[in-house]
Amino acid sequence: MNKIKECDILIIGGGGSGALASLEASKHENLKIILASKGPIGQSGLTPTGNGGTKAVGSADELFQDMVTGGRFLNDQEIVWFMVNEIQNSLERLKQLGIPITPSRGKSVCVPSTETLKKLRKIITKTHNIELLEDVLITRLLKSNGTVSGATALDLTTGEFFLIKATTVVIATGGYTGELYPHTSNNPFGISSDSSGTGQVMAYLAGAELVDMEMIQFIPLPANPRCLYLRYFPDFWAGPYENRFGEVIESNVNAYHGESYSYLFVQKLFRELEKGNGPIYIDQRNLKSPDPTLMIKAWDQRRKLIKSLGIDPHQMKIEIILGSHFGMGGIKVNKKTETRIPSLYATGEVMGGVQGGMRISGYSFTQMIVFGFEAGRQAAIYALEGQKPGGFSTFDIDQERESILRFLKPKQDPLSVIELKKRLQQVMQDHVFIIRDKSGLSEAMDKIRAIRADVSRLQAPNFKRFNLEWVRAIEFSLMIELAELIVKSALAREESRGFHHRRDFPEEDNEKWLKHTLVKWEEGHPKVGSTPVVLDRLKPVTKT
Amino acid sequence: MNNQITAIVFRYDPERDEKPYYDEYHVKAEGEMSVLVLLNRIHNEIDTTLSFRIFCCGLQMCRSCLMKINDKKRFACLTLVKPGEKVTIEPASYPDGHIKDLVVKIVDGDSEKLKKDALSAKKCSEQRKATFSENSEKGRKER
Repeated sequence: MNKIKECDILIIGGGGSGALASLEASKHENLKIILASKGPIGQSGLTPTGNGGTKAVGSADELFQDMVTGGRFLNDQEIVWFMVNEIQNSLERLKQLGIPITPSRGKSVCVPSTETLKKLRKIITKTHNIELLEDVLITRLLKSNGTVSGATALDLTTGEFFLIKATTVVIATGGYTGELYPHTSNNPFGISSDSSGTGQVMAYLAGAELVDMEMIQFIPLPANPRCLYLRYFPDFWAGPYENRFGEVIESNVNAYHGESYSYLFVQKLFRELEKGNGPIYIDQRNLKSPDPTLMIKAWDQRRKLIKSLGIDPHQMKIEIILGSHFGMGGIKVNKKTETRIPSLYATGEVMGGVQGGMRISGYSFTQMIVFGFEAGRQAAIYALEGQKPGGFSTFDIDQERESILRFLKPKQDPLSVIELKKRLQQVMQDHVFIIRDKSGLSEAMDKIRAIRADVSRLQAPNFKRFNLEWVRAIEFSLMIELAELIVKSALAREESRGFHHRRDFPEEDNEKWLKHTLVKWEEGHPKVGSTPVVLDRLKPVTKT
Repeated sequence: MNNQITAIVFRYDPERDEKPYYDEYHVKAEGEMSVLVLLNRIHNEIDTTLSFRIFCCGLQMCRSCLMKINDKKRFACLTLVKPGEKVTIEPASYPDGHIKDLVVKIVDGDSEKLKKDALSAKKCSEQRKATFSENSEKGRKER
């Protein structure tokens, strides 16, 4: 028999959103909460890689306008409106938890990422009605009578497979773009943060819809992964950007909405590379060093650290490549973080539709904080309504256990996860990158299917305790589904909007495509559809 | 060899090994790299059975990669090794809270905990000398 743990609310993911959701829900003394994270809080996930910039300064109208025009009107306006109106409250609650929030540049404040998580972890471990399960990977959601009733779990420290029964489940597993591309901001120093998008796929397989999965933000990154934290040099990304002939491609990124994270700018760099004029460099050797007294302390520390590694953009040209950064797509929710499955909630980067076609720097922390609290609050309301957790299907559980254990069995012609992942990353880089077209996407689909057929050849070494290869094999089997859903969504959107650019449909098509793409799992198959964006607060200006 | 780094890595799976032992890896290196990058290469290219906490904040802040490197507790993310060098890598704590190979349990207030462990660091180093002189295969049970 499998071990079963029971709770009212299961929160999956130990980043900022999951941590805040657990604390918010724990205010209800009679609710028991389990927070499960595949790594320790503050030592896993994407939150620690964030620099803490949180867009929060200015009127709700200004922030709303900034996000929705930046997102090319693909944002869910109900969600955005709630978020920009709620951020001040949420920051106040963070302060009450003892998190230091300092003013930053522009419309941002700084919520220091790792420091915040460490502090939250301390509070969580002292909160009697939260059980913190670290080094625990959730592998599948279990359902009963149309609601989610819990999940299957793997204790990484022992390899034990067990079950968690829950009235309500909150998915807070983060982004999906890091593992899909060879270059990414998600992996400091080139070391994988395993941000593999399994939460999106688990929700999808449980019946939730995914929205706008084709919307993936790509940004310029230092070619040398050791330089990733160059962003702690203020103004580094302002450029100037030069091609290999020393010609300036762009000297004024501030002219773009979203600056160096703008899709228009990134597409410009991509075209320069396509012409064969790469590599691209940022050359600031003639610029003055920034005044460290203008920097907040945490940033200055990181800047010094980069310098101690011998990296100084005022001494050398820095080579730039393009890589993945953020997934604007994700689980379809409303402003209460509810999915279409009554007991299932989603918060943080795993939510879709918040940032539309382009995320502007600083709004992901706003999303994490506001909806972290909100998901905890809403999940608690649901759990308090007194629904009992449903049962489990033994069939589902046995099937999942078999599915996990298959990777430990010897194979005739075995493959390692890294081999398959590299193949997948190449496909994504070649065909599902900054500029896409139908023939490339169709080719990607065929190649992804071939890779999926090879998942059965994945073989991890046969032991149970902290088996990284095993965990990665389990995650890869979900990632390959995700890749297919992204390609299907990208094929469906026959226009160019934000970070989704189609060479065969180069124009933004407001007539036909002010719509979200939707994918859902129906009768054993992915089904692609669309739904109109509700434009009740802000409409695009029609060209005459 | 000047184009490789030699890593001597503490190995112990309490479920499968009678006692700890050390594996020696020769890793091709085109330049200096951090110990965490080195461990990643070993995992990706040489030995998928090696366990360590892969996560990297790259800032010496999250403490996930704290381990004993050449007998001193350091952050693997920013401790650099050069081609031609030899590096010994051991868990931050053993036997207290040890899980497998370089992975230890994360405890709240880890720094206090680790100060206490400094005493056992010496013991560990002595044990290594004793173990490593033997055939490292001896630590493994029949598989």
